[in-house]
Amino acid sequence: MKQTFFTRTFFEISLIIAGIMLVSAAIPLFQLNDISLLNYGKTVWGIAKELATPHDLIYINPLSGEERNLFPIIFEAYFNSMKIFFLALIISLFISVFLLVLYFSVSERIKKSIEGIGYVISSLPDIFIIGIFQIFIVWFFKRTGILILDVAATMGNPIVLLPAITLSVLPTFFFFILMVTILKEEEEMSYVELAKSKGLRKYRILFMHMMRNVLISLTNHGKHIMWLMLSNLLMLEYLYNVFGVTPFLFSYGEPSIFAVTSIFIFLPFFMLLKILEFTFERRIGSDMNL
Amino acid sequence: MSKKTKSILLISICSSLILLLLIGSLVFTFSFNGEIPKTNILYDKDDPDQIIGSMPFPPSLQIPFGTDRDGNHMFYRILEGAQITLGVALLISVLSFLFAFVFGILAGFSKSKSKYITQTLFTSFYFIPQSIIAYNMLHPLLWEPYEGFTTTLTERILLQIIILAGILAPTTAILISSETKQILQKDFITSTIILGGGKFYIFYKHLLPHLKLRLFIIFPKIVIQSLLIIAHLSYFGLYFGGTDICYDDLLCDPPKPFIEEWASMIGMYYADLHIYWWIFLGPMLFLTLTILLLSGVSKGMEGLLDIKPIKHVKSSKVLNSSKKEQKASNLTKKDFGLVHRS
Repeated sequence: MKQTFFTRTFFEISLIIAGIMLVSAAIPLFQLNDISLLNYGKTVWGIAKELATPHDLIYINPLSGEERNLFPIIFEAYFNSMKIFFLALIISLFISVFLLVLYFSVSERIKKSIEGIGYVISSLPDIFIIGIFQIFIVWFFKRTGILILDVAATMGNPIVLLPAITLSVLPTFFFFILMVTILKEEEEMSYVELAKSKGLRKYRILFMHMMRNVLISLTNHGKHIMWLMLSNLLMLEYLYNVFGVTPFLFSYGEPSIFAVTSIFIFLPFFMLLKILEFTFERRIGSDMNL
Repeated sequence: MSKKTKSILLISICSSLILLLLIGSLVFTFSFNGEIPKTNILYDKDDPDQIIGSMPFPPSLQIPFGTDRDGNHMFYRILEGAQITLGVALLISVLSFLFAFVFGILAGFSKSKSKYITQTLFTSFYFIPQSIIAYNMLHPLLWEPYEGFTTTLTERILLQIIILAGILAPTTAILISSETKQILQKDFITSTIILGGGKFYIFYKHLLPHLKLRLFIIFPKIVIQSLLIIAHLSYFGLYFGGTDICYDDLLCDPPKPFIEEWASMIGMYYADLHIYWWIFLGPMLFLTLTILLLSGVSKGMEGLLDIKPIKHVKSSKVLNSSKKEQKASNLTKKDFGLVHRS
């Protein structure tokens, strides 16, 4: 069992990396005048060769035209992005659980309206949220003379905190809506009825028994959440001028740099999903494929 | 209100609002020749010589969405742009849906190991945001080079639509193929195969009726995705149909779009957000509204799918009626309903 899991994971990782290479090779296709399979094949081969010797890769800044070795500099950008991403993930998980508790403790009618509002917010486009945040910051500054960016700067790294908060808005409501649907399914399970009939308190049942199952079911949607947050993150980095992985992905002339950056983005998320899958498979024996 | 009527109501309200926007836009362009009202200077009502303000005007009761820097009313600019943005998004989604439908169903039917491999290969699309792929692919096409464009506007528009449809197709194909796989695992499919039903027969008679409603859930989501990609691209400076850049050193306007539509307005006026926030917010609000309406349609379809299949309802009715026959002796007033009233 253990063996097959790891070999399967390894196989999947190499396949996805191959997929990323194929996508990256498709990018410069339209720069060439003759689109042919032979050219495409050549590009794929070129990327594969360059990936084999990663320390020779050179990154040209599209704005300043400066040439640098890719390798030490990409790590700094990469860690900036990852900081924002995981901070946002943690914030949104906490707030959505908090919202869930709030939801759990109000009456049936308010529940319905909370659900409706949550659904509407979770389907707002990311650019709208970023725009509203910016307008709010400007409005707040004009009203009070306090620049929120400065406030955020005294509380920590401004370049991380503010984007992370903006990034966390959509996933929070996405998590919340998902949790509510899962919770409704769980409420009908017999173990909840048993717990109720034993006289356990409402919150004890919620936290000790139901929440675990809710969180486990939540990881089933892991890939989708990552997808949603990743495109948000890159948008945010661009608009807030954060030094992250985005400029490396904008180097349209260099498919190999695009490939390296994509692989860097993909690896930790995929590993995280696989680790979650592995632990759940061992602990509760449920078969997932994330 | 039952769940079914609620869902149908939601779908009809949302889709008719979107249609209204499209029709309003077309009517404005064709019957009023798309002339956008202009207000350069506002005078005081009591004293006509007194100037109370000049363009750009913020939103007010007279000018609901304000004006841009040249005094054009934003509402009419937005209305005129609606047809292009919505039309293009619909076109892109229909195209990518067709690609995805063919490949998704083929993949859903195949059982071999090659399907597992292609599906995992396509998973890479989940880890590279589609707008980034679109930006990198379209940059050489849409960003005006120093010598000027070698392609015409129509060529660029067509190529952009095809490329965006191609970028959207893989994830949609994965979705459709997994839905297909789910339906094909049902018992009645197995019995059809045992009874000698061919693949096309299964597809036409069994798969399509079940898949239809699910496709209606997926389609609005693709339209949303394509709207978002166009909007993201214009944030990055690639407007729909190409970005017009002036390379003279003196007196240059910032890069501007060739076509008036929501996404390029949003992208262009984002820079003015700190001063003239309403010029940015107007098109943004309309785009957001459209996206919300589309997700409302999708949600309504989901509600329709959740309702138990007709067979089930019938059997429960039979059960109820048989119970009623048993209790025929103690009928109450409730058991009788008014049938005709002519």
